[in-house]
Amino acid sequence: MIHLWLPLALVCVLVGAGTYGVIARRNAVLVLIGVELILNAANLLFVTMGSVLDDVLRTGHVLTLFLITIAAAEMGVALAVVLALFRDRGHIDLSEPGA
Amino acid sequence: MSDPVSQAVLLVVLVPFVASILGLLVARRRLASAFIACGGAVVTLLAGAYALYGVHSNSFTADVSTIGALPLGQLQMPLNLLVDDLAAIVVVAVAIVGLAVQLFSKWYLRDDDRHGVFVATVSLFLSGMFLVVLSGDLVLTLVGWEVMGWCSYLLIGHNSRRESARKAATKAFLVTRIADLAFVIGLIILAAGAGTTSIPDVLAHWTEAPDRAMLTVAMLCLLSGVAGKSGQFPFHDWLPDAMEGPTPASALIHAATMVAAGTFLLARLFPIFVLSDPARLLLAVMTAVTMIGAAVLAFGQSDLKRLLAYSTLSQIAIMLSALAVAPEETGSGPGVLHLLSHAMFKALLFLAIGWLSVLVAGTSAVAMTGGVRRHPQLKVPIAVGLLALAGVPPLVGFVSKEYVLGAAFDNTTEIGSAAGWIVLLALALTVALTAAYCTRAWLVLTHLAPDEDAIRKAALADSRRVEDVSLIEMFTEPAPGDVHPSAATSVPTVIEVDPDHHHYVPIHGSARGSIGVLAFLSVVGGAIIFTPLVGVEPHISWLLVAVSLLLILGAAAAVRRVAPIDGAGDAADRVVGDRMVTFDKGFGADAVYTAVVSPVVKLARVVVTADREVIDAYVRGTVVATRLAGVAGERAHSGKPSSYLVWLLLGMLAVGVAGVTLW
Repeated sequence: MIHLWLPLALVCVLVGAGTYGVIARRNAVLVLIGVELILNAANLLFVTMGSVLDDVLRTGHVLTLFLITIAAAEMGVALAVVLALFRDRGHIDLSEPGA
Repeated sequence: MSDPVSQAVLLVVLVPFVASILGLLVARRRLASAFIACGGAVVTLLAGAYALYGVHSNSFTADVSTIGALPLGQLQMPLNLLVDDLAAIVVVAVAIVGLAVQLFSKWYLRDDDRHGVFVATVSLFLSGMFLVVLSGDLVLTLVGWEVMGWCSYLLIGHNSRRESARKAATKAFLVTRIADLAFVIGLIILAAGAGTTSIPDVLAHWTEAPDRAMLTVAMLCLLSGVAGKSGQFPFHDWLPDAMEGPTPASALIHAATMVAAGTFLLARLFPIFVLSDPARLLLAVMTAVTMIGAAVLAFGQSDLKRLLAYSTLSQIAIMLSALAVAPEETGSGPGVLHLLSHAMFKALLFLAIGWLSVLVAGTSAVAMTGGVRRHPQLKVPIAVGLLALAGVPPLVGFVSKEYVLGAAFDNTTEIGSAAGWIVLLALALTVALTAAYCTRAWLVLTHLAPDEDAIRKAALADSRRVEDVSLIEMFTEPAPGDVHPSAATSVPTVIEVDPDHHHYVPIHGSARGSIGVLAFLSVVGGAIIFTPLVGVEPHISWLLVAVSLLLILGAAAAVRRVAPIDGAGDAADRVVGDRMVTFDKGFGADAVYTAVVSPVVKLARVVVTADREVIDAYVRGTVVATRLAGVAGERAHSGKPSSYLVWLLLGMLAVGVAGVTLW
């Protein structure tokens, strides 16, 4: 079994990159990708901890499956919003103030 | 309230007040304002006379309720008016002088664009005086007292385009205000001790109260206010400067109202004032210093109007000294009698001198030289006034002065206090000095050969404006047509330079009549002692009469002897000489005031600085801090979602850290 610090370091990198994307990016799709990175970092953390901890029900893995499903649905809604935004404004630059 | 005397008393106070307000409303219309002022004065005089009649016909002495008592818990404040024989006679005297002044101002201020404001102020002033006289409540007394203080400021500063008038008004106001500080404290002590502000109750309480020390403190405080209003040493110096006001205002302030208010108040409080020996001694010393000092200064004045001002100081000191020494059973009669007589002859003198000053253009002794000889219609009024002032029998001044002398003499024989001796000696000296300066004034006014150059110089000195000076230079070689109408038949160069009176109008009959009435009262007013109006026994000590007559004659003869034949015929030129400048400055009273005031002003500056830089700094500090916080908050609102997100994340982090560490 690999050492625990590798997946945890990957979680930190993913969260950091996702946060940076959410804060710094102007393109709405890239912001969404940041959000997705944070979400998947959380998934990775769940899976890692679920493998390490002595849990009969495997809560970490099960919750990850739920999260992947919800994230897919959420991404569908979010992309629809971005599409509506584009149709309304003609761009998806989040630094522009709203009309 | 239903009886007519009470209503008359209320009218006396209210009519001048209403007249002043109406007068202000029509101040721009000369005839209407003069009519309202004079009409108000007439109604007041009639109401006052009726009150006097009512008081003496059925010995009516009553409280007259005004606006009802103020609900003040333990302190009773009934706000009553009080009319008794003392108040009624003073009201009539004040009303007579007030009417004379209103009639005279109608003529005297005929070219003044602020005539309406002036007569309205005079009405308000009279209202304040009547309130003080008729007050049966210490609070009403204080109200009237302060109204007079304010009106005196307005009247003295009436000619507000002149800086000297403004300064004199401010000086009068400040000096009397400072003196009034202690006065208010004295009233508070009296009212707090008695638990009421009603004067009869205050008198009753303090007559029986064993706490004489507190009474003395209250009386000393009151004396300060009285000295301020009545112009006694050391607060005396505002009164001569008050000559900057128009002559009718001087007549009003000096004769019957403001300066007499102090005397009246002490007469009103005489039953408790007499119980405090230290206060009586202080008043005796104060009045002795004032009456002698002012008489000496009066002799050395280069200006006859200022001579009258100093004589007022001296005469007020005489009436106050009567209150300082009168034995308890004598009462306040002699002082009040002198108040009444002084009101008559001093109003007469001021109005007559004001009349003359219009005719000869100026009030300096040099300008007035021979004035009476050139304008013989003034001979009788001025002669009567000066004789009454000097105390020559049988004029009113003689009678009242004898009563004051008698009171002092009784004090020395019956009580033998130091106050009695001080006042008696000071009175003897003052009688001689008064006769001396009266003689001097009369000799100047009737001088035969006026010095024309001196008149011109005086006119130059009197005029304050450039165009007047050029006018005088033009008149140095008088053309026949430029001669003053009244002087056309006598002395050729009489120059009209008084800036208030550009063209000459003969005196109105009403103004002349009021002077005549005052002169008549000054002659026969002494007969009042045979009536019950003042409450004195018709008794005069022949020894004192003989002594005072000798003093008067000696002083008059001495002045007559030293009076020079050349120049202005002014005895003071020879006796005082070059020191007259010092006399004009009142022996440097201003310098003393300045020496007292400047440390106070410096202290006040320190306080102001401390207040502004230390205490206010905290207040201003909150403003600065709030503004800084506001600026920081504004900066934080960048309008960029990403920066808010950073804060959000930091907050989440903080909550997470707090949750982990604290849980």
